[in-house]
Amino acid sequence: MVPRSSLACIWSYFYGADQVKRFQLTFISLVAVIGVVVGCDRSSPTAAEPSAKQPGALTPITLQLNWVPEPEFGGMFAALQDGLYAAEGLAVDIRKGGAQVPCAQLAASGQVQFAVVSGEEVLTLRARGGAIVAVFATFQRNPTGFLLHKANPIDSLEALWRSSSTVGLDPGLPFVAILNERYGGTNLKLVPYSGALATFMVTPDYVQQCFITAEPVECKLRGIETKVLSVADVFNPYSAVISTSELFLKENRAVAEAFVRATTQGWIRYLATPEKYNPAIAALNPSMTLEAMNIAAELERPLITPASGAADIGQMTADRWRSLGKQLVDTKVIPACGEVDDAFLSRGQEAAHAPAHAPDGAAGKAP
Amino acid sequence: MMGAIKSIRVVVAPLLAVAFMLIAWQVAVMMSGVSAYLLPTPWAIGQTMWANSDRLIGGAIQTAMAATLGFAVAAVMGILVGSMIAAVPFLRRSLYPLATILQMVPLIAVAPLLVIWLGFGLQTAIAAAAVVALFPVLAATIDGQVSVDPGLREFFMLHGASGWTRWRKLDLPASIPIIVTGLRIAAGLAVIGAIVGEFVSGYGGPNAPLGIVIMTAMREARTDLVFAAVALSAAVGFALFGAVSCIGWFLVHRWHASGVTFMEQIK
Repeated sequence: MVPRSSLACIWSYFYGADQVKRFQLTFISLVAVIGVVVGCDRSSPTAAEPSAKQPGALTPITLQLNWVPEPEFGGMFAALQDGLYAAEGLAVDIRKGGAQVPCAQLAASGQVQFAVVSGEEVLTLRARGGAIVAVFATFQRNPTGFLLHKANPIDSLEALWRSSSTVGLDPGLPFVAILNERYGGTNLKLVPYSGALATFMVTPDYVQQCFITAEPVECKLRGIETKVLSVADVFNPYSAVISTSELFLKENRAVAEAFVRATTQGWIRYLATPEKYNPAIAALNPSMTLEAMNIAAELERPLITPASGAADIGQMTADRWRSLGKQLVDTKVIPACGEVDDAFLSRGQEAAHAPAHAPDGAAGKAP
Repeated sequence: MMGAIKSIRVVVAPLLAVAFMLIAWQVAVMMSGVSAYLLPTPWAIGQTMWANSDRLIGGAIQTAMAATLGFAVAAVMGILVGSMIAAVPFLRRSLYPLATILQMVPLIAVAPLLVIWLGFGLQTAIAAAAVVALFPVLAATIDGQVSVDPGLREFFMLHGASGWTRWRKLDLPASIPIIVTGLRIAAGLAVIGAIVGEFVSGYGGPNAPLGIVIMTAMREARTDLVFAAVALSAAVGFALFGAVSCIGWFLVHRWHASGVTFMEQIK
């Protein structure tokens, strides 16, 4: 270490001998700042521990959404509305998200207990050192697609990628690299996706990313005829994945499992009778009509329900995660993908730790 | 000799402060063990900057172009409109409050509208930069010209000078020091405006501007690249600020205290 007196000499040379006292104050302040940073981050990432609770009291849990309340989160709102979380001993606070909310980082660093992210975000953040684990996958099939006006002559991903269209996309989406590799895409003009339909509505040849269950429905209700090119055939990660930090899962496994059970039951109930739950969601999101939400719920049912049946909603397999990891490595989104078994909580792992009897309130019927 | 030592002090002192801050940052992160995806070390950011230099320099050129052109538009419009507002009391009463409101418009909310009006690409980033950079120039021009010495103004009137002559030979030159201050503030804001404009209108690809590089890096959880792009955008802002300061000094150093003491100010 450089002696403090030497630094004081340098300071006095540049700022004058009478300023040594100021140097001392600056030096002490800097040391204090370092101390605060070190002190704060010693335990980082934090476990986002549910605060200490009285016996019988509910465990407070925060679920951070990555978008505004929509039917893509219907199961979580159904679980909240029907008291399924409370029946599992959880007081869940569902927070609205948005385009710039760093959900994966919030979950990995323990700022929130659970966050909704995309499947690729889980593996990408893990590759960068983030200890994030997926516990529940809402969409078994990727609902992302490209929204085009019906009159647009483009009718396939290949035709789109070989065209000179202007395409609104979130920068950094991995499937862009996959499509570039397959079809070139050198003439495309990629621009940021605004999350709104304004540009699309006024520009006939404009193409933008969409959730199959959201933007096309809004367009239909506004009288705009559209078509959608699904991305799932070339890139099919789990989507709307609920994740938590490794530390939280390790220290609060029973809480995480209870959360997953209630969410699963919530989805079973929501998909059976979405019109019962959509008014509460619509009240939180005035920009999407109730009618649009009811249509979206119908559209998302086949994308969420696994082939094995509604009881398996939310579950994930190592093969799907491995396949995603390989795609991300092949397209150089991440340098390497570690063992995926640690990246998600499989239903088998969860069942091994589940209580013998689920609370009555959490019982649901498959649609 | 003394002058040379003074000049070295002027350069070395801020560099020393920056070095001190970077070392403190490096030590704090290393000692805390905080993950790189939350806060990378300056060393890691430097390595990322080097490894992605082509992409970052290409992006910085795009952003610098948008910021500089937006700043130029704001400077010309601000000085012209500000001079008109200062010269006509009626305009001052009616338009100055509107100009003040312009300053309070949240750019992030207006930027998507700029895309609809102007389309995607450089022109929207230029417009966004101009919108945020306009008010400081406008306000400085008005303040500078209404605070011209009344005695000198009367002197011009006594000699029958026209409004155009008075503006050219008195109002504008006398207000240059204040206008330069407004331009310096506008220079930094123009870069922020350009980046926000790029967030909504920038083209992706190998020559994507810094705004798109930042968004892409955020999506890929590459915090080191985010910091690298932010550092470069700050460098663009600093370069613009420096250029404006130099031009301002050149214009006023012979006759105004702000120019004479410019070097003193940064010491």
